[in-house]
Amino acid sequence: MSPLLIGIIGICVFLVLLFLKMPIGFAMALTGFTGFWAIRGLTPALSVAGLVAYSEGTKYMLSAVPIFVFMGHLATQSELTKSAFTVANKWIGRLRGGLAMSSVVGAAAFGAVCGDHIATAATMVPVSLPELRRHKYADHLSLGSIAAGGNLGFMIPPSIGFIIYGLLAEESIGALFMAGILPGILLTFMFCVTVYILCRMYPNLGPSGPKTTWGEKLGALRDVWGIIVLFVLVMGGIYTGFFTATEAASVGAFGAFVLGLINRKLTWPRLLSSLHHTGSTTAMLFVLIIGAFIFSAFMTISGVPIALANFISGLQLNSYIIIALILLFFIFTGLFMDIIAIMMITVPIFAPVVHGLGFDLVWFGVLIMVTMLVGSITPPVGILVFTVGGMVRDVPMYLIFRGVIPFIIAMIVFLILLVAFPNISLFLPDIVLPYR
Amino acid sequence: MSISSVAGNIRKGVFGLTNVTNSIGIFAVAVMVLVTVLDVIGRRIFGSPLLGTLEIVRFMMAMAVFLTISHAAVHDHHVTCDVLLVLFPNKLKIITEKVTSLLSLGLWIMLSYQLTRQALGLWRAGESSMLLRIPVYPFSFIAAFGSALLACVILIQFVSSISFPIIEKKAES
Repeated sequence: MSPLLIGIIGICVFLVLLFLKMPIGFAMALTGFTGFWAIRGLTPALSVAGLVAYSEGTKYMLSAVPIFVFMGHLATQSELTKSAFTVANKWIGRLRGGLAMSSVVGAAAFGAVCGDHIATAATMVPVSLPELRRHKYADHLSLGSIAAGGNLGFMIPPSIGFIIYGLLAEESIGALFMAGILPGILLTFMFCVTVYILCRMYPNLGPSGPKTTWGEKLGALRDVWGIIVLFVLVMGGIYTGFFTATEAASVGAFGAFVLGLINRKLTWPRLLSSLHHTGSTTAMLFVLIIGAFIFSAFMTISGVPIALANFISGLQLNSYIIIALILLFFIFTGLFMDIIAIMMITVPIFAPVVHGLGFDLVWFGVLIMVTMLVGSITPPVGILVFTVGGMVRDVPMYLIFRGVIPFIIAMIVFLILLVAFPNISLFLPDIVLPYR
Repeated sequence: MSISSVAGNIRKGVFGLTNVTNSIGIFAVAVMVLVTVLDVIGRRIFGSPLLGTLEIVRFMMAMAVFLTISHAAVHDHHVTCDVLLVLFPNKLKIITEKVTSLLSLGLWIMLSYQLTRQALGLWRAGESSMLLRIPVYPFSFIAAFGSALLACVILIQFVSSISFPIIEKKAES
């Protein structure tokens, strides 16, 4: 049997195991190991599995993953992000639908110190929902905006997704972080515009809030100084080259720890809780990472990525059509699977193809992030909708799915903009890291 | 002492051990933060970086990753996708879960075996880190131990789900 055929069978076996609820990291590692065994024999397969497991589990660059997760938990436990919604409300609350917009802006601010979309959505529910309900906002708009806003946690750096993509596509994490800033701001703006349009069309969905003076607006900024300090510290450090993106994680986590002590919110139990959550996420992510790299070793020797690249280039299609097809594939898989898992499986296969077409892999990283985030608010596995729905038991799930539909449309428009204007993503990385 | 109480005690012991290893793993995360911050401050402010930061962080990573994976398995934190399984009749669903559980067990036994062989190789070779001359083998053994503990957790979950459903129900409640 040819290595290529074994590779194709391996992908099929992996998909079967995956859909049979075997943990995704385990399924990738097992298929990768067995496939390697079939092509090269047992002894090389054992060596590769052991070496990959240890080397990926101890890779210095990957230390940023658990530490950025830790930073997000510390910022939450230190209540640095709690006031983001209130402050946003002071600034834009008087607009029609202003409170729902505030929950979106609050999520964006939270995303600036937390790299996880689920944590972002879960944090915004108790913070903003009581206020939204008090002001008689329609539940589907409120919860739709909170669920969609969760996506900003992944889009706005520091983002776990960008770190893992950077590693898989061998791109600079600093460049990817910079590439996420403008799209993150644009997506926040587009979500706010979506809320505004909805509330103009259907005024009952969300009334305007009370007017605030400039004094109140500026005074409120005092409550989010922690977020601003932390974001400037992390991104400023990377931007100026004071430290690397990997070191930025530790500096940010330490900064969140110090800020928590200064505002006296970070108690010993809260610190332990942050560490425990970090431990669970680290284990979950690294099992995926180890599995993906064993699978990737198998894919490489099977020749599947090269065969796929040759097949696609042989199609003689316009390169933008190929990109569109790849993005559609990512949207489709995003409907069923976890974002990190999709990246682990597909980036090592698609990155060489996209690079071969002459596209920038940083730009492509931003695009696939958006496509997969669409899946996190779309049935059947809309993880953010389930997160929000799980916390608000009195609203049926279908109503929240209905609420996110306008935001999904906004994300599709946003994706088209990113494809049409690559500079939205590449402007900052080109300035900061011109020779990347 | 009945078989079910022995099984219950083994389960309790192994799951308790995962709590201990998890605590060591998360402590390693805190050490990584501290060491890196000291290195950045030393390098940028005092012009003197902390020697061997990369080595310490890598060793701590081995602890943070391999000592937390079994605890995550106990609490079902590993990512799964069940879009196909939900369509299966109950009996087939249970059989499928057992089969994937056995496959997972095989995988982690293989990985712990291979990691132990690697660790023994490093021990015999006396390999140590470049700057601090810290022996590498203890961390390789930690990786092997963490994988073996995960295999134990999968085995216990498998055995108790087929032989002692009462214990599993009690533990879940």
